[in-house]
Amino acid sequence: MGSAVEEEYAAFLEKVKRTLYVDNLSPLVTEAVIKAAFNQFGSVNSVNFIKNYLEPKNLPRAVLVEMENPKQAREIIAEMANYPFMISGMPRPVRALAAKVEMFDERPREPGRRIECVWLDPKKPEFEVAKKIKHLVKKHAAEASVVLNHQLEEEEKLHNQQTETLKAHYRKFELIDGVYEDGTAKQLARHYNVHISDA
Amino acid sequence: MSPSPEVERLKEPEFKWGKKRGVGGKKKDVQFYESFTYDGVDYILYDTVFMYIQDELAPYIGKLVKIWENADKSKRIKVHWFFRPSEISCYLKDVEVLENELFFASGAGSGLANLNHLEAIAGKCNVVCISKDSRNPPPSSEELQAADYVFYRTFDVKSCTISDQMDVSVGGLEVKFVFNRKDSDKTLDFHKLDSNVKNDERNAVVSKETLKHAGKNSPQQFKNVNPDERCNRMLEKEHKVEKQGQHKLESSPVTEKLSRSDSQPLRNCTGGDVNSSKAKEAIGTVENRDTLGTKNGGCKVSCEKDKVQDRKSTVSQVQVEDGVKSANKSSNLEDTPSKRKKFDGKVAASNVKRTNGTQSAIIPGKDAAQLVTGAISSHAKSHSELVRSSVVSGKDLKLPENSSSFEKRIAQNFSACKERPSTVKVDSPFETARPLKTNLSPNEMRKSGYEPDLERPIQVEKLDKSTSGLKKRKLKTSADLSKENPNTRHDAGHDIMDTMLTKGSCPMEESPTKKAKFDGILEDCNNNTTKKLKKKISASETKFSPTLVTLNENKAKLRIDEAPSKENHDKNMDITSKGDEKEVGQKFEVTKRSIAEKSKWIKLPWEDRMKTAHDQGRLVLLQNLDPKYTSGEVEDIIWHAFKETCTAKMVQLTATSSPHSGQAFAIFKTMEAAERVMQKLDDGCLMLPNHRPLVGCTGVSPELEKQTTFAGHLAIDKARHQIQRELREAVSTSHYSQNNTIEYEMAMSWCLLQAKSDKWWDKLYERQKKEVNKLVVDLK
Repeated sequence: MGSAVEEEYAAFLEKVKRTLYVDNLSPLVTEAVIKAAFNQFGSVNSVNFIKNYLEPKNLPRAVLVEMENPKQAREIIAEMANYPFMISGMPRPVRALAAKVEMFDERPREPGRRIECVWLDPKKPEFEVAKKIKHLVKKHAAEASVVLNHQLEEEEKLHNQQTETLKAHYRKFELIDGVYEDGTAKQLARHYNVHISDA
Repeated sequence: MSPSPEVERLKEPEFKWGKKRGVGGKKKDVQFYESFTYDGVDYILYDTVFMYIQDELAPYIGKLVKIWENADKSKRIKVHWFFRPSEISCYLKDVEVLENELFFASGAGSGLANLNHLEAIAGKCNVVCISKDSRNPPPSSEELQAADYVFYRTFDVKSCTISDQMDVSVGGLEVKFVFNRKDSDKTLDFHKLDSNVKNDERNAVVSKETLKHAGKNSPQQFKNVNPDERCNRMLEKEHKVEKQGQHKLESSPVTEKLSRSDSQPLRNCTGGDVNSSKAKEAIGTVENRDTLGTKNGGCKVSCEKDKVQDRKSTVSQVQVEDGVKSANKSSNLEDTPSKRKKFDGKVAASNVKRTNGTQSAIIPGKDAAQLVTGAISSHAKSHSELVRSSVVSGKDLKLPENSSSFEKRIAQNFSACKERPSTVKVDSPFETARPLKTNLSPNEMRKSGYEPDLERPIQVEKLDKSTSGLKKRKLKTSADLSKENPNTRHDAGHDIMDTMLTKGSCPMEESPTKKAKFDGILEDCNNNTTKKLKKKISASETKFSPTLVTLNENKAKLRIDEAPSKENHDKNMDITSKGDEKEVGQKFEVTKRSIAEKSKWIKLPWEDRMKTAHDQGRLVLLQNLDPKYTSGEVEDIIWHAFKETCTAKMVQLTATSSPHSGQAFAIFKTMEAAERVMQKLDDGCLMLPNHRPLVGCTGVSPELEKQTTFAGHLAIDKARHQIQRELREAVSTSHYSQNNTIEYEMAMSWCLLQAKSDKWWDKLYERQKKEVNKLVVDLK
């Protein structure tokens, strides 16, 4: 019995090793897209999206991608750290990290873990400390939430900025295109006595 | 009402017929069956099952009353329905309903039962009958804990009325199929062996603990020296008796679990004494027994834990011998002890009960089983139950536990309780031991009235003669005599108390049943006996609570699991009771519950369940968990800490979530449960390992609508030309971006932002960790 549990857990740890944690994903990304994307580097065993219950819903999605073996997973992580990889959109690259045990939804219990709980006696000094810790925990959660919102704002800002940049670029291209299309470019070239190809 | 037969199944579940029952139909082409296996689950006639219904969140629950196969090989079942309170809410009006209560359909007409396709069965449902009807084998605390639902009332589908009375047949179904099954199939031998072995192991552990407790208790006991003398005498007598009986009490320590039942007389005295000794110490006669008492106490503790199991076994035995009633009683007793523990006052009562009951307990020695052929009759149980109920509820004489076997007993608890002469193995003695704890209980009083040494057969006999309610306990202990002696002393002390009490009120028997009586008896006893008795009683009571605490502690130490079940029992018994509370300051280990996986067939998406739960106020967000915990472990923690079942889900860690504080959602069954848990977490401090006080707050509702825009993915509305084309093509494929494109440049901006955010997350969590550590230092 014990060994079976341990085996199950060991198998799970193996799975963790060959799994990628990928985030900064667009909500439009589907399992099929993920599979197509990562099958370029190996063979995808399974894809599990991490559900976002707590954070704002505009948070990028994250996914656990189980590859065929740990080597593939490691290579992908190294590659993606060096080159921006786009999935279902651009220019925001996705990010790949090694998966951690805690990221998995359905995971076996760690064998041999003992959980001992105690209701603290309100009269003891520890109780007050514990209260403070509880308060701190809540505060920290709030802080994290603030930071997360800040991050989302920053992302939004960058997004808007890049949108502007892109639009500006786009207008330039349009302008150039327009100049070519209506013959203005040729006229000017003739006027200044240069070849268009030289411009 | 009838569930849809269309069961969606991806693959055909395996199916196998079991025992045949006979043929029927016009052409004798219908084959009836008694059992079958479906989808890996064995179903037997009169099992309770969930019935799948399309578009219904809550499946129907019904009892299989007929199983057959038609000539065309179609499998059919007849299902006798249970009603959920929600289904008959308009008829319930102001009737109070238990949290997980069901109503069994009775009468005649539509809604009583239906014929269905066998394939509509969605799973087995564990429904326990908590009817106080004497015909109903009372469920053990374990069973109650494991129960999905309980029921004790019926709903007449014709007159739309609720009733808690069951006739010979309910809705055409023989009443014996309505009540719990008797577990008479258990073999005594198995129990003995089992109990012996387990007891030994547990006893060893328990004894240690109990020793400590005993040591604490002993001083108190000393106070009660007066009774001791009597007790000693009694003990001597008992010893003789025991010798005569040739029971080996040796095993008693070992079979602590059993000890309740097994060594009940001896251990009861001792163990019960230990527990009760604190309470009963007043009774005195504990001194000599201190060591023994301590051991016994340990036994009791273990017994309590083990009680459930042991009791079951004992119950079965009793049933075999004495019949269902006795079994019920015994089971009641078993349950009651645990309850008693919870309720100090109750404990005393239970002890009394035990003594009353004449159960012959066989205490298996370490090597050999000791047979305590004490007649720890079910009376004791019933008494104890009654006492408990009375004590516990104080207000209500409902005696839920007792009620099953003791409904009528309330009036004549003892008479009803009169133990049926059943040979309860070691377990029963333990039970008796518990009663001892509840020295104050009526039983004891009764005993005392008869003779101080109820535990001893002689006493038992006397008791029996004098009061039918008293049970004869024959303790056969060779090596454990010494232990027994102490026990007996305790008992004697108790008995003395009892006797004193009884003197005041001759009908001790009756007194045990009702608290009020009990109190009155106590007063009487006091009057009759002496002020000392009163003092003792009070002392015992006061002591008792500590003993309870110790018991709880022991339980916690030994196994939380058992304790919870007991607690559950208590809850069930006394709706208002808060048996589930763990003792403050007591460490308890969270162990994996043995409860079968929750009905897996419910496969609602978690989001939907969360949303529903949130809307109903049943959703709680737990924080500061170790992120390593699994959802199952969180459920176990909640169970052990609050005795509430919930469905938990760990929030999966992401790159941005805190690595220090794991979060989990827990869906409770009711809003009250969720609020209670939150309140308790707020007011108290549940400290998890690694100095993590658990934090609970209202869960937020998940937003289900899908996000379609994504910061960072650009699209140009009028995209027609070069870049746009490139972009669009890029969208459809995943690629590394080339460093000579605008895309690459922009991607670098994102990478920069990512690096920045990583930094601030790191900083944040680093600082948070430091802050927590600073406080944690104070804890150490």
